[in-house]
Amino acid sequence: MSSPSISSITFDKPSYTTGQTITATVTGTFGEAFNFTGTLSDGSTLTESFSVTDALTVSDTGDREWTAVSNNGTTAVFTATA
Amino acid sequence: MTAYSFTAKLSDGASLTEPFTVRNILMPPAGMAWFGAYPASGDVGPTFYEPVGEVLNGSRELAVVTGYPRFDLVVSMLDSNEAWVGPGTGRTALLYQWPCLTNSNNTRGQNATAPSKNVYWTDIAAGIWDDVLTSTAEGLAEYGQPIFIRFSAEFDSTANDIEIFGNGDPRNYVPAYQHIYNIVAPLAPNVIWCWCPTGNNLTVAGSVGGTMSLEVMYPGDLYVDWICFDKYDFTLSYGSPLAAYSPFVNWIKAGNLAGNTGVGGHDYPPGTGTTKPRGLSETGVRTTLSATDSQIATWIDGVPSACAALGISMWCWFNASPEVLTLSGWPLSCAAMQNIGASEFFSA
Repeated sequence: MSSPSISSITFDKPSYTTGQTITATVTGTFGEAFNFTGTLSDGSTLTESFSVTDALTVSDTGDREWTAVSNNGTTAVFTATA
Repeated sequence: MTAYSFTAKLSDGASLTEPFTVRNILMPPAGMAWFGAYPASGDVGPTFYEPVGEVLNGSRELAVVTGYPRFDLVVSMLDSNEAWVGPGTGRTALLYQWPCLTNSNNTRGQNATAPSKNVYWTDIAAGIWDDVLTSTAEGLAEYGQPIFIRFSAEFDSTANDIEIFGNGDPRNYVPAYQHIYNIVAPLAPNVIWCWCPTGNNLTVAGSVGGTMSLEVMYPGDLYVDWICFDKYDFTLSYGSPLAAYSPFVNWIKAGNLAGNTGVGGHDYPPGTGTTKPRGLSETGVRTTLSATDSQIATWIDGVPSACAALGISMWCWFNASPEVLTLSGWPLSCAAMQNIGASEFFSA
């Protein structure tokens, strides 16, 4: 697995009002995809992919509770209430 | 507006931080609403508060206090009121109408006699009042506390702005509102923007004739923090707050601020307006008309459940004696007001 790193954080709005949902998108390399292949003696195979992700945690100075919506190893999306 | 920092961190300690901001639009806690009033005539200072103080009889403070400055005198009224509304006073916020009237000469050379509606929406949109807007924004910013502002409230009323005072075309309202917002909002992020029709009219005509959806007067979700309305039940003809408030709220909830491609329509996206917090910025029952003290008290008893059912998060009684809406001298009504003011629903 390559060295994990975070390259950017973006928000879905320039600013928020209280009660709105904040969506933050984190990009970088915090995981890597692998293929797992099973092979029988007759040569037939089946392949499935999986990823290994580094632990990515988020927080803010307002102590909001952030929910992880998705994480594919290069893009992770989190939401919280403003 | 409060600035925060968001940090993402990996297990090896690598991290990245970005700032974001949140504007406080004074949402009450879930399941609660702000309890407010226009205290009385006068509009400034502690004596302004006395009539509603009589009604509440020390049972509680108002969370929201409404006021009515002139178009060009918002800041001077603010200077008079800021010391007794805000942190440490038990009163959370001011709610000001920003009406289209001044006591000074207007831009068309007319010598206004007070009070006179003489600030025209077309003039605002054309930039004629920009100096006033800028100085007002600076004063609001200096105030610093969140403050509800409702520009040209009751703009759909045929008795006020539209027909009598020259703002004849309802379609002139949105350009004026957006012009004000574009100048004031960047300078004064503490302003909470309230769109405030009467709640009486779901269609408007103005002097241009024809019938247009009230949607033609909606500036769009980007420009609005709260949707307020001023719905009265003067003669108890509705019979309950739920019956009085339901038509307008249900019209909003049904999505009527979206998809209008008719005359003047904006074709806003689905859901427009439906998620905005809702507030009664004025309401009341006229005490000198046919209603009895007991009937008014019963009407007031129904306010918390009506507001809860309709998702109304702010409720302000218009307690003005010249308009005979004050409850002073009506003991059952005062007791009802004190009772709902002490309810869990209005404990925000």
